[in-house]
Amino acid sequence: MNKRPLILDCDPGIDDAIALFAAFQSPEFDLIAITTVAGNVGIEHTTRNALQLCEVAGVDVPVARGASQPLFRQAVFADHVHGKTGLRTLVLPAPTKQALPNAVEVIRQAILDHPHELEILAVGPLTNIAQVFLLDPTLPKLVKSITIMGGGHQHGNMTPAGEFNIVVDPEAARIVFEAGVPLHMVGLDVTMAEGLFPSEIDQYFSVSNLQTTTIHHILKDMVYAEGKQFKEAAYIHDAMALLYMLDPSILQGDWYHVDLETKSSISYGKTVVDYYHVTKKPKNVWVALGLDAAKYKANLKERLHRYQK
Amino acid sequence: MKRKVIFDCDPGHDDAIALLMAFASTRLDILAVTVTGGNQTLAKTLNNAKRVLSFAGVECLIAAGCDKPLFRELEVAPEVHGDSGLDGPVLPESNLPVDDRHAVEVMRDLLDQATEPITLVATGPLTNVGLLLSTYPHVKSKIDLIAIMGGSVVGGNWTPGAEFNIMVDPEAAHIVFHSGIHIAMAGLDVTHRAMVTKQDTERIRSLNKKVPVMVAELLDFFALFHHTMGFDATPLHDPVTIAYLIDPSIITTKEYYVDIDVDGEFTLGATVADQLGSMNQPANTTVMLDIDREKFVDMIVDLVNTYE
Repeated sequence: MNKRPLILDCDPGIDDAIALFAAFQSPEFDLIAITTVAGNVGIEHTTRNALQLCEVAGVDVPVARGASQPLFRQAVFADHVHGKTGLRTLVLPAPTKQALPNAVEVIRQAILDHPHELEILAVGPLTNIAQVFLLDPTLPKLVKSITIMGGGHQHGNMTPAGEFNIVVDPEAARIVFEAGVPLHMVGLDVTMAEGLFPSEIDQYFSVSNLQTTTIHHILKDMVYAEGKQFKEAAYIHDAMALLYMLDPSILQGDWYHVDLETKSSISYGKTVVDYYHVTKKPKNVWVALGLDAAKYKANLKERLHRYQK
Repeated sequence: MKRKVIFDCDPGHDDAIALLMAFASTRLDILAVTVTGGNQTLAKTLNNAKRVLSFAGVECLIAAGCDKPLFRELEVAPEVHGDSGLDGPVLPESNLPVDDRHAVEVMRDLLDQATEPITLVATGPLTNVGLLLSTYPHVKSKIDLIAIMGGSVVGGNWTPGAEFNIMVDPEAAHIVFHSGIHIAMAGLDVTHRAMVTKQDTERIRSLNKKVPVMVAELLDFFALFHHTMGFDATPLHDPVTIAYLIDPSIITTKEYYVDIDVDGEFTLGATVADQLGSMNQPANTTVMLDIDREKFVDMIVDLVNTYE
């Protein structure tokens, strides 16, 4: 079977970390590179974390350092969720390898090396991807698809209307949403629909090794209630996007026209889904609206249990 | 004790049915009907209000308000309500008198004279109500609730982000939602569940009296547009506000802080509800989210059946 060439663009980030661990156990993909972006925490942290997580997992994947701030706005971080370093209380040895200096160049080359085949999974602000498309507007039509963790139809989390990854760099998101690449949006409607409860995390692994104890530490650290109507659980937003790429049947959704609001003082960063099809504009985004929670959890566990050896 | 109500509207098929329900209810005392431009121009919505009330034999203080939004040009909805704003039934012209005062002055005077709180109902753009609150803020203390049809927590019907009534005059809505007066919001979240089916329409028609037959004819016309939108049944937006005042137990609600988007490119006119509490603001709005459809239809049938 041909492996699917993949760029994983991320800002680890605790949920990014779980997505990376799952990606490292996904032989369906040819993981060409991990590209980093400022988001959950600053670029020094997200890049170092990506390098450290590769070393913990024992994988040799290029890590390329990307944008240190959004296209036009001041950087905003989510260290109240991810801690100062981006991995909360997890402490890992300093990385022995260096990151490549230029994520944009790495992504661009990956697109050119795998025309019409490259898939991009972007689980942070979309700054790097937007910069690639701005530098060379012929590139979007060579990308097979982009899957993002970001946005939401029913609500935001950083603001009432906006989800963090999009709110941080709405202009970049707009460029990516309007690029013409088939876009799959795994947003808050599904990523907050179910998390791992503390009781499920307790006995998550039956084998203890460097990887399983690291993953377990992160999962325990993630248990958090965002908004009073959500249960305390580990909401692993970014991993769900990866698991959707591996098994689309975990999510239900449909194609909609989605506009990206960048001007509003209160709704900037909102992914405006034309749910009632009032615009008749082309359907540019597959929007995830429903989750098969049991299947999602089973698939996640199956991937992560591959470290039990 | 009857709840005292000033009813601001832009009839409109669903406004017309809401008016008939309100005047039929023993729980509500309608002090005035004030009219705004919206579904159609003010001249047409005023004429429609008069014709509906005349047809039903209702006498009430009627006043005309703003003919355009506070800061924008009027957008009307002929594709929904027809050229007259009330296409469908044949309604004779009305000679009901219209008060000389502006609707906003009528509201002010009624509120100034009031010895008990008054509820404002608004089923069109919030232009008149917004102008009232900004021009005569001293009347706020006399208003116990503003019950509106408008907005939506999730999705819009005029643009992807906005519902028609708020979209038409977002600045007026902004004044209302920031007024400090509590709002009960019947937005698309609930009105798209307040569905009236073909069978329901026939049930109303079979009451076989003048007003119910007229209501059935309004529903016939209102269904046409909604069929083109892909709805099997017709969402009866405006009557939900009246249903809420008559019997809130049939409606599911949540308390949210709601703000109005006045400067979005795609989200202009959105009612932005802080569902996760990230704004840390006290709730200003009771947002209606679901309705017991069967009881809602029963209520409409019972109320329109009170007319001869």
